Amino acid sequence: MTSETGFDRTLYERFPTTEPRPRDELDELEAVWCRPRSTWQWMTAINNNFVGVYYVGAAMLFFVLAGLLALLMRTQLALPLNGFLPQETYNQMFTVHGTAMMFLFAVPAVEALGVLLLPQMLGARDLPFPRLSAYAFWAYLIGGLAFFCSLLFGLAPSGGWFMYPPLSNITYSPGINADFWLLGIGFIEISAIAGAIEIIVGVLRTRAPGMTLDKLPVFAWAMLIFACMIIIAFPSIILATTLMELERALGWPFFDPARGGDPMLWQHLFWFFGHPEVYIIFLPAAGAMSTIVPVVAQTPLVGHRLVVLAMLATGFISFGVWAHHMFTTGMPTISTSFFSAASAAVSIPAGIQVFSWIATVGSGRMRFNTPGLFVLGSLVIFTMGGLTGVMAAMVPFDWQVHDTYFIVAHLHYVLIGGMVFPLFAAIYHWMPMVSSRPLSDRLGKWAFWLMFTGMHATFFTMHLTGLMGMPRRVYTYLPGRGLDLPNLISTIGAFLFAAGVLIWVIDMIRNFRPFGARNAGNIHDAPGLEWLPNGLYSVRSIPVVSSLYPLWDQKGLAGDVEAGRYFLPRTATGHRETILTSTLNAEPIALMRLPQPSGWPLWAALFTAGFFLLLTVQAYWPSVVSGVLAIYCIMTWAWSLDRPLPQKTVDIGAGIRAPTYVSGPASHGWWAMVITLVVGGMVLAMSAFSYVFLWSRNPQSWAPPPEVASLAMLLAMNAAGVLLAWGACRILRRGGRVRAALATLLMLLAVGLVGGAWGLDLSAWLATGLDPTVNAQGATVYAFMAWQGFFVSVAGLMGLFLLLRWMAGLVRADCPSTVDLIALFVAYTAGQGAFAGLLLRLFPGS
Amino acid sequence: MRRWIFTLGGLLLWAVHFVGVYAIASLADTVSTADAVGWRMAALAFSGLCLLAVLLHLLLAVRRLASPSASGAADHFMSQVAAMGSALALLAILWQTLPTLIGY
Repeated sequence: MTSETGFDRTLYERFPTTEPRPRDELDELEAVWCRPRSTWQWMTAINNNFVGVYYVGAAMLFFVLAGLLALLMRTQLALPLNGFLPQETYNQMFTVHGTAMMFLFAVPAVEALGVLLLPQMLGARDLPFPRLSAYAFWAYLIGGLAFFCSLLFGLAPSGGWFMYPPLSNITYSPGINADFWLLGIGFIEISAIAGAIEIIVGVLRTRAPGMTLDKLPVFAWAMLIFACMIIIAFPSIILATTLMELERALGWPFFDPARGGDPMLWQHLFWFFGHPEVYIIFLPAAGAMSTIVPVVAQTPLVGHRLVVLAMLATGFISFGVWAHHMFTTGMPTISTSFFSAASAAVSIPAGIQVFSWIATVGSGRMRFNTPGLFVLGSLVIFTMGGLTGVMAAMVPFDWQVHDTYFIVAHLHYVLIGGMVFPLFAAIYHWMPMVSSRPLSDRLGKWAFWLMFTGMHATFFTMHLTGLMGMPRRVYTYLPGRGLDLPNLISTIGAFLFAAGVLIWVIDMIRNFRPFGARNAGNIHDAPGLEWLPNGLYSVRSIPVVSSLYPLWDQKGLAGDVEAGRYFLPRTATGHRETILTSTLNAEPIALMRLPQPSGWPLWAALFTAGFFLLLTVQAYWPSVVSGVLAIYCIMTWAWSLDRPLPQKTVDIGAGIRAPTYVSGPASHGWWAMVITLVVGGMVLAMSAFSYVFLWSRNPQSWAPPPEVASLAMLLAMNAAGVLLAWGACRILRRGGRVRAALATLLMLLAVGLVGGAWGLDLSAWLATGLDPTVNAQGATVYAFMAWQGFFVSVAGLMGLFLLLRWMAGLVRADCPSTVDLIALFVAYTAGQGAFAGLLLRLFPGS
Repeated sequence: MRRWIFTLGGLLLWAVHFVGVYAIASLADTVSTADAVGWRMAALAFSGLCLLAVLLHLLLAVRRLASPSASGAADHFMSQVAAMGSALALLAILWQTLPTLIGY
């Protein structure tokens, strides 16, 4: 195997080391990674041992809350013409139930599982951006609670979790209820994207040395694909919610057919996000299943490589099936046939995984403990949901059952079998690792059987109710139509399911009691690194991995790791740190310094939430103040970054030396910026789709663009901006105070040029007299302008930040990362401005 | 990045194919009708091109698997995933070409 970085892999043979370790190095590690002591320290903790637990806890809180809403709804539907809930309250409840389960429980829960488990699983001390994890968590918690509380004030949305226009537009949904959904969800997605960036960089760049891609745990593969899917899919919903909010607040008619808009655009944008969302939820759960099944069967996963391929294939095909939610909208028959074929093809990668689990269970010695039961339950439920999914992929059948309880049954089978049961299996499986104390197997079995029975009673029956013609989202039904008994059974089933969840809640409270023994250890005889003895610093030393199942195949590994005989047995610099490794072969590149706990992520999240929430309640000035404070917090947080250590290189174990600072593509910050820009690029791509789509609906009403002469100037200014930004990076690296000043000046000029290009473009469009409120062309053109204006503003803030750093003497050749990242951002902004200019002027042309 | 593109090549081509046929049908629907013969033939030609590209990628991946230079478990793993991905993409593209070929 050729080296990826020039690292000599024979150096791995130095491990495990044999010489005795100094006695005080463990104390130093524990001091650097110390436990929080005060309430404030608990709130500002950033390492994954805490944030991961908070995150999972919050996600499960929303699961319970949304589940309570389901119970109320089922109580209403237990009897025909029941008066338990008023119609509007029922509408708000099913909307909040669906929204909370999808946005506040399912995605955050699996993301949380990643944050909690990945560092230990990869043999890292923490994920690369712990403060970003903390920010993502607090933003999610505050935003989620505010959204949920809207229900208590009758301010919750009532248009269903996919908020189709025209029902959700200002005419049919007056008031701020729908705005809570639009702004709340947009905000929570920012949190999800922040988490995804953390996970991608973590999986690719902080693996234990030797953990090549063939030895990457399946769960980490799943989380990597999951996070990439979030980066591709979520920008679509961010764009959709922004456009809808612009339509509601400013009257820009993206979805109003009377002014050239089209409600179908919302459906395309929503489902381009919404369908991958199902796989975004499923994949990490499948990764957890593929990790737990070998443990409960005590044998390696059958077809490991096929399972990885299946997860990759699921990730790809998930973006090709969005329109199967739109079979009844009158799309051309050939288009529905393409989507139908793609939807049926999903069963191949899903089937590979299911058969792999069955084969693994069949080839090993199955242990029917609680995780094992949840795994088997998941297999049964998910397979049934998959089969009804293939049925619904057939267009004529879908026409019959669309918007009936059959679809409600199908989606709950898929989501409960594909995500909820695997999540419970994961909780029961990994709890001894997380809290050093297992959950009760006896209570767990009770919980499983109640949930399994309740699930089938509730949702299997719904297939029949749906086939009998009961539409979804109705708050009551007439007696004597054969719907009474199935609805009653569904309600009883829902309460059985809730009883199972209640038992689990009791067990969890019992588990986290602050007294009693806590030394569970590797009670499942599991093979992953996360089962190594660990503390708040994760593993005592970072092992060299030579197997997919290290604890099964590398004899004596746990003892050697605990004795500090591998990489980084101490704190090499006196700070929190982990090893930065290469993406393919996990070869050590550098020592990565990790940040200390800080209150800034918490404050930043609080003020970001304040900005969105105050905007929702139309308190515009307080919202602006909150936004400014959020920017201040984020800048202060970033101020402490990009500081090189006095030691240029350090011993990371066995005499191997590694640099303490890297920049460019070798650094983790560069990766995070590139991924962030991919998010921006996806919003741009979906905006371009929206523009072309709306033109295709109404081409005759499209007005001619501004004259082409301004385009040449716009392109030239953007190109000059890119050149100056690139020049700034080059000049800074040549060293010296004057060059640092010149680099700062060039970057500021670059920002100015890109901003100027945007101003030129905007004024050219204003001169045409195009009005954003009159037709869809005006709305989309000015939406492009607004998006570019946002990027220009952020580039301006970055320019200001750079100027301040230069004044503080922090723009230097030995720490060029800040300038590199700003240059990347400016170059992207310039490219985006040029693309928008070209598209809006040349398509469809004059 | 080249290694990633090679490993995911088959799946990327699959994605190019399904996005392409959707785009062709949508464009056809704007210009004339989605199932106009000329546009269907264009979609068929596009599917044929994608199939050829996937076949080529599959052959390359298989050759790399058999090559003695593919040393090491990680290289082997990536080549295997590339080959299996292409095989899956081949099937999927054939399947999604059927609506154009045999009616819809």
